[in-house]
Amino acid sequence: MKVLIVDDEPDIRRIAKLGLSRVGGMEVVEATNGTEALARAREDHPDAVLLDVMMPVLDGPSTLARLREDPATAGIPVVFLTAKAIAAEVERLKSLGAAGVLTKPFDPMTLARELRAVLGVP
Amino acid sequence: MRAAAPLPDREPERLQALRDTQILDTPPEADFDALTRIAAAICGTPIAVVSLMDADRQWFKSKVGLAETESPRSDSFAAHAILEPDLLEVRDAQADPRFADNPHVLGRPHVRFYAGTPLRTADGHVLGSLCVIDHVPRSLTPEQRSALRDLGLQATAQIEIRRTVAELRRAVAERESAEAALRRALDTAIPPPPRSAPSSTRPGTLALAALMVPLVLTLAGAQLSRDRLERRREERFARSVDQIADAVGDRLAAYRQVLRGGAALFAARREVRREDWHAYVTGLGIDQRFPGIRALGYIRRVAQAEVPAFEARLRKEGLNLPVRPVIGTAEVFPVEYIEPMEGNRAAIGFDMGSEPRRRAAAETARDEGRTVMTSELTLVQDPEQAPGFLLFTPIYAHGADVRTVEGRRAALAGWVYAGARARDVIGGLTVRVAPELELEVYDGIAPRPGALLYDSAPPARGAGGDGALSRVRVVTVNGRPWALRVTALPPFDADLPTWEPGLILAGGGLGSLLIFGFVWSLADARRGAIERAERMTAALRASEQRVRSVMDTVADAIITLGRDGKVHSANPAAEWLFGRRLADLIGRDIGDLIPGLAAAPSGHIDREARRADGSAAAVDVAVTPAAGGDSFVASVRDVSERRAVEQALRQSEQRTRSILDNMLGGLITIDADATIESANPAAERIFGYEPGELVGRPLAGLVPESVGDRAAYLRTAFARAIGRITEWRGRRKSGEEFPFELSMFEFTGGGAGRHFAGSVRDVSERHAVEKLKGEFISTVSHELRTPLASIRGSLSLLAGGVLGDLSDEAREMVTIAERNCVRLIGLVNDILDLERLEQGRLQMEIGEVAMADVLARTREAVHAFAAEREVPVEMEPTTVAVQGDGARLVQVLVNLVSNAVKFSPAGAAVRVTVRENDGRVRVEVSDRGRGIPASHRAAIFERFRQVESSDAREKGGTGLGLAICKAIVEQHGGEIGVESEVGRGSTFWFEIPSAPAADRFLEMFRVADGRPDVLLADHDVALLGVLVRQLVGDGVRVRVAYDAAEAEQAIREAAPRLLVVDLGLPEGEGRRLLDHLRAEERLSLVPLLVYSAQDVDERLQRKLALGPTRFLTKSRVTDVEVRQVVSRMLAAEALEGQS
Repeated sequence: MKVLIVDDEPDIRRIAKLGLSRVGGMEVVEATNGTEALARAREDHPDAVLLDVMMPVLDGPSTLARLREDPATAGIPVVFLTAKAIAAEVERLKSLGAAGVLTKPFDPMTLARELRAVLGVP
Repeated sequence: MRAAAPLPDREPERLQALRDTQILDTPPEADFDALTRIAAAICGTPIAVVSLMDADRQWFKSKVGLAETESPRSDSFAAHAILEPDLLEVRDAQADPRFADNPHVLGRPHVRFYAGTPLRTADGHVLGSLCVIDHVPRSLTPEQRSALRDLGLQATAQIEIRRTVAELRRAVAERESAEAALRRALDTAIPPPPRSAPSSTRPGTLALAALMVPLVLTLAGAQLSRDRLERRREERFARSVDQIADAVGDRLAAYRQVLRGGAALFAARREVRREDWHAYVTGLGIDQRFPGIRALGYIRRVAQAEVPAFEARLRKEGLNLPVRPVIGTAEVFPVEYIEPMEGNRAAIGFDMGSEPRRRAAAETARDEGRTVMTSELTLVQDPEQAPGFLLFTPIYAHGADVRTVEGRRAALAGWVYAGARARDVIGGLTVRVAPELELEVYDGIAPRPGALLYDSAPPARGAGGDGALSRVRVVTVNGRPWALRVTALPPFDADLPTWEPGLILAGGGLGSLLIFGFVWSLADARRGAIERAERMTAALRASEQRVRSVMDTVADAIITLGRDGKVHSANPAAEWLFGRRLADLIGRDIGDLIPGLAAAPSGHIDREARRADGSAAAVDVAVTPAAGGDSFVASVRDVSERRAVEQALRQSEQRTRSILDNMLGGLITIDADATIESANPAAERIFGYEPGELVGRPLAGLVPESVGDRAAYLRTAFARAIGRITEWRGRRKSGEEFPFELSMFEFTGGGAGRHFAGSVRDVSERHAVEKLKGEFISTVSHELRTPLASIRGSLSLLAGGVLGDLSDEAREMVTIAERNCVRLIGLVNDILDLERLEQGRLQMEIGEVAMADVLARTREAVHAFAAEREVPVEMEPTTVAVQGDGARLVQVLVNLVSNAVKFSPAGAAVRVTVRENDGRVRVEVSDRGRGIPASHRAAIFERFRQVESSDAREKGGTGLGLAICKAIVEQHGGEIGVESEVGRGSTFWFEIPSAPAADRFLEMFRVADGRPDVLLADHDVALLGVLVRQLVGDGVRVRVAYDAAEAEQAIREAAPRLLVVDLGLPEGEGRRLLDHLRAEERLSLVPLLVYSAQDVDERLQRKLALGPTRFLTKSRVTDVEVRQVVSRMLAAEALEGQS
């Protein structure tokens, strides 16, 4: 499984990548912002996108919207990663069309598992 | 289809009670007019009436805004109102099936809204109602309803006073007419008695007297008559008796004469021969002239020796009759001659001396020389042997000396005798004298049975009746006494008026009875009249008593006055009121007591009562003329207490109002239909409404359009908001939406129905702050969390061996670092949570939450943890639901259960129970841990507290958990606490209100549209009427004030959308009004239309203006134009207000 990680924080990216690949056995590609994410998604055809909500320039929701606009990327499930854990926020994000929401901080040891759970893949 | 209102119970009595008040069809009175004006002003309706429900009509004692004085009962709203125990309110008559097709609704006066309070008297009859009517659908605030009820009570009190006065008048009239009747009755039935002794009133005596007198007279008369009769009878009888006696005497005297004659014969001749005797006797004609004499004869004295010669002589004549009986006496006295010979022949030779009686009589006659009669004997020769007698007349020898007895004896020659049958002698007498008399003749001096000589009426022939008149007369006949008994026979009375006494008695008796009867009836009539008089007097006294007791007990002072204004009478209450004794009141001029009270007015007046001690009391006086018109009844009520109460009430109201007006928080009260009953200035400010604008509006008007189904929204809002502080979105008058905080509660005392009050706080600023804060927190949380996440992630990877093996020590270090990092993250989370909770408390999503769900989620969250610590978590199943934020509740329960698990020894179960009780849900989490010492229990819910700081290290946890739980629970309107026993365990509990049934609170909402209202201030009633009609027709709600004072009051109560003022209000009131209004900030902006007779110059216009102001000159504009201007001004206002 190939996952595209989008977060403007390199540390987060790093840890997430380690967690997903080392622990979860996934293939990980990275993007540092929303724009990059769109390009990446188009090029690398990931199976899922783990998308940080709060990013400069193009924030998570906007990125998602763009992804949906592009037929090449529209079908890729997107999981938000957010520091706000409130139900309202979760609902909001979900309502935007995300497949799920994971909260920061996350445990890299369980991240892959959780991602799979959210995506509904075994 | 409307149905006629049913008749109230006891309708006839009710109608009678109404009649008794004597208020129907009376002219309007200031008191009632005041009530209707007040009602209209307070309720803000153009129409108000005091309606009295007659049999077929409702009649208006007082009315505002209505021309009619009565209308049919069948069409009246009031007919329904009088059936209600309390106020009848019809919000929209068109929507009410009872009235939808009522002519007054479909046509004039276009009733849409009606409220009527029944006028109920003390004895429970509803005489009518005080009603207010509007042309638009609306409803009343609780204050308005309360006021309307009070006004109704006032109206009822007024009516009752009239009834009391009417009753008094009636009592006085009754009394007077009774007195007059009594006087009349006495005068006609009984003439005034003479000044002397009063006569007995008992009919008996008088009548008896009346009976007695004539009766006595009658009896006397009868007696008199009888006496007279008796006397007559007796006289007659006596006369008869005399006659008889005389007759008898005469007859016998006649016989004597006969014998004398005979004796004379013998005296005249020497020798009287038989033939001589015969001739003599025959010549007498004794048959006719001397009836009764059977025989006349001559007895010769014959010596015994001469007897044979005597006999021979006889023989010679052919009479062969011996002297017999032979008795051997010396002398014999045989009958020699006897005539008539026929029948008597046998007597010849009979010796008169042989029989004692004969002998006695004969000898007596010889001895006394007179005619002697024998006693009763029977003649020898009488074949019948009837009673008779003999008469002897002695014959002496010629020339003998017969002066002495001896001489006579010697000289006796013989006797001439007569023999008579008594019957014959006497018989003819009575027949001739008195055939109706019975004559008994007895020989002797008294009637003796054996001596009866003669009885004219032998018993066979009928006797005299009892008590028949009877007299005994003794007549001496021929020396012999005869007892004559004369008895009157019935025929004797025949021609006597013996009926006279009877008739007199009868007639007199009848007459007496008549007189008696007459007098009795007279006396009876008199007695009846007197009794009637007494009854009337008694009744009068009783009625007087009643009146007096009413007057005595009634609290009002009641005084009767004469035309001259002087007091005639007063009741005890008057004594009390004026501080004077009755004696001091009577005759006093009323002006002394109530200065300024003219004797003539009617209706109620406020005056002062002057007491004896100089003090004064405020009183309410009602003066009515008494029957007859020359006196008055004044009913005086001390209202000083009432005034004082009113004053106190006003002051209290002022205080309350002052508080309401000045408090910073908004306060809105609504009724169960969520119509705003009142809103204080702060609330008005918050929502951006003008003073008074909110009243009567539906609460829904304050809810944003964006909400959608406002009714449903409000319903749920209520359900959630009661007893809590909740936040809502509101809508200002300008349309701006804003958040406000509402704390709502139900209160009582606002009148019928449920009332709720809400304290309103505009939290938009706070929201803004919170938004900032939230954003800040959001930012900070992100800023804090991100590095933490990285740290944690790194450590986790390290610790997980993903990046290669570590030495034990290294791993230990990493683990430490990770653990603390987790703790730090938790701390940050908690702080942020708590902050958000405490500041942004309204972030909770309240909904209906099934506790079972909360339990399930909690279990899921703690399951692993509890299993790890080998602490079973037991949860009792429950079906309870609460209103709350499910996620938050889960958070609380997870916290509590986690704590419980944390502090429980392995194997000891943690129990969770959910109970509902009395509207609250109680959740308990029990553990068998160490327990919490009492000193800690209170503080345990504070931030950063743990029982011992060492626990934090050991057990983990930030110490914030319980504080957060407390905050969440309290936000739900609940409580949290702990029960614990050191060494045994603890039970943490929290209670929150369960889901209230929304429907219980609310009924259907109605979203009413606000109508613009216009206040017209003009004294010209006619002009007002015209304007009102027009504006109403335009759908404008109109209030009316007749003078500046009213107008000002009305404006203060509820500022109108437009004020129309006639500058021509008397005495410059119009100008003053505007000046007053201008002086107040909120009133100075009222849109104004000034209507004046003359043009107002520009300078004055500037001076008069309030808000948007227009000026119209009456003479220059038509009514239509005024209307147009009004409409335009209202429209402009509406645009500006945009409600």
